[in-house]
Amino acid sequence: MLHIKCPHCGLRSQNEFSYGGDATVKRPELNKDVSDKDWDNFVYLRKSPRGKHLELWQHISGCRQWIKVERDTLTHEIFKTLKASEEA
Amino acid sequence: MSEHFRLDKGGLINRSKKISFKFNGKKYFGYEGDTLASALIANGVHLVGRSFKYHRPRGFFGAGVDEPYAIVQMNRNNEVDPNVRATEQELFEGLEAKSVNCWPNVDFDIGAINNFLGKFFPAGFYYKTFMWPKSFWYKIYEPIIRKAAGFGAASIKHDKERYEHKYEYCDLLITGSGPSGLASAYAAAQNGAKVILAEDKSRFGGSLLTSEVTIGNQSGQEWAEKIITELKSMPNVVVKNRSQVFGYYDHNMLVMSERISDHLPKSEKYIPKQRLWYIRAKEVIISSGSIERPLVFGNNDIPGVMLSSAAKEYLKIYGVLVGKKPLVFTNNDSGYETAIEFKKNGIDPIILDTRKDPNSEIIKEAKDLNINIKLSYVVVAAKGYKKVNSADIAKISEDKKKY
Ligand SMILES: [Zn+2]
Repeated sequence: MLHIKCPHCGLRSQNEFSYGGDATVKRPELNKDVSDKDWDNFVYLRKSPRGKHLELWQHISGCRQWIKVERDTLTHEIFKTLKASEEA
Repeated sequence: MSEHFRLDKGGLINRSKKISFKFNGKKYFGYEGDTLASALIANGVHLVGRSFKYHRPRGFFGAGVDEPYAIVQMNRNNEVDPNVRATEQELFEGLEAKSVNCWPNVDFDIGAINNFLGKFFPAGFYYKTFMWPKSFWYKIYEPIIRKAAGFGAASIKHDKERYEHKYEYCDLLITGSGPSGLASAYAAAQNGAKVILAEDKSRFGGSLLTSEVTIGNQSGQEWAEKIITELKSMPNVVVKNRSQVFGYYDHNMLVMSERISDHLPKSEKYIPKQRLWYIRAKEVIISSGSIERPLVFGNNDIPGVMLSSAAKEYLKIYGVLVGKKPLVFTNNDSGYETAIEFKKNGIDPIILDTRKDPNSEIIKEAKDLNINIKLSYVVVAAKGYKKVNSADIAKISEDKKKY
């Protein structure tokens, strides 16, 4: 079980968090023509990298804030955690 | 039944408290501090089960968590527990246990016919033969296979016992209370660290309980007792016996199972039977010691063939002889410790050592005690069916091409 440092609450066990997926995905801009392919990419397609990965987690059994976690998907090493508003 | 294999003195058991128990319906006696295994061996019971496929007789091989054979069905306070190692189960008044994996009983086992027909059972026999015709499966094949295979029978009743979960955090988790575990726990605790010391067995001390060592001017056992008493009095230390750390997960999350009431006839009111600890440790020391690796020879699964470290443990902790004519087969010095223990208790062992001319203090000690030592010798095969009665031995030839 991972040990994740919530930027608001401190070090907590993984079972207080829920996983929110890739944090680098950008939504297509509003009020512009978007091709079906771009929508498809945004909604469904995700990379599954081996190594460093920036991801969203929600501290669901704590402060309920969304946070960003930079984690190695192979070793589970956590390099840093950020507030959702912060850029990596 | 009297205890033919119990020494008159010695061991860490409480001889002033006799305990009666039942194994396969027969009544025996042991002492407080015994395990089911040590008490059975003291009573001369060596046959405790049958192997999984060929139903070969099974006895005791180890003395603790490493026991592969002596698995029994426990009956405690009208609850059954199907897969208990007799070497781990502590004896309590009124304990009832029986053999698993043998039908109709352990001495006459129908499945053992598989043993003699072994040549005609190719690998995968069960899977291939019992597939056809399909309609036979549920009514005929499956019930028979179920009876012939598998360990124990699970209860179909609701479990009345209480079980707990607990989260804990510490600076240092130490698994095992042998000399290195105790020394590290003591050093860290004195420096103010929050320490959890976990010991799988009921007694603290690990190898100090079975080895003739001194630390400072105390015996290993006295030193262990002193350190444990001190650790228990420190507010930053949690000391737990009967607690096995069995999992090491990401970010130093470890899981430990504490057996709180398994050694009692029944759990006290509101006290759980077992407690599962989730421990997040900053640092971990694995000081669990090692398990002796068995040597390979023919029929090394016959009851009566066991680890020499286990034989020593039965002698030193329980005052029990695993046999009266021991043959110690070894390729290192540790077997000599066991042989010397036997000799000190009036039993003449024979040592077979695979080495040609080993030389060390303990070997000299064994020679001075007039122990029969055969160098460059190996056991080729053990003989006997329900109990080992002899062994074929051979001298290793100089060119190692033949013996
Ligand atoms: Zn939080």
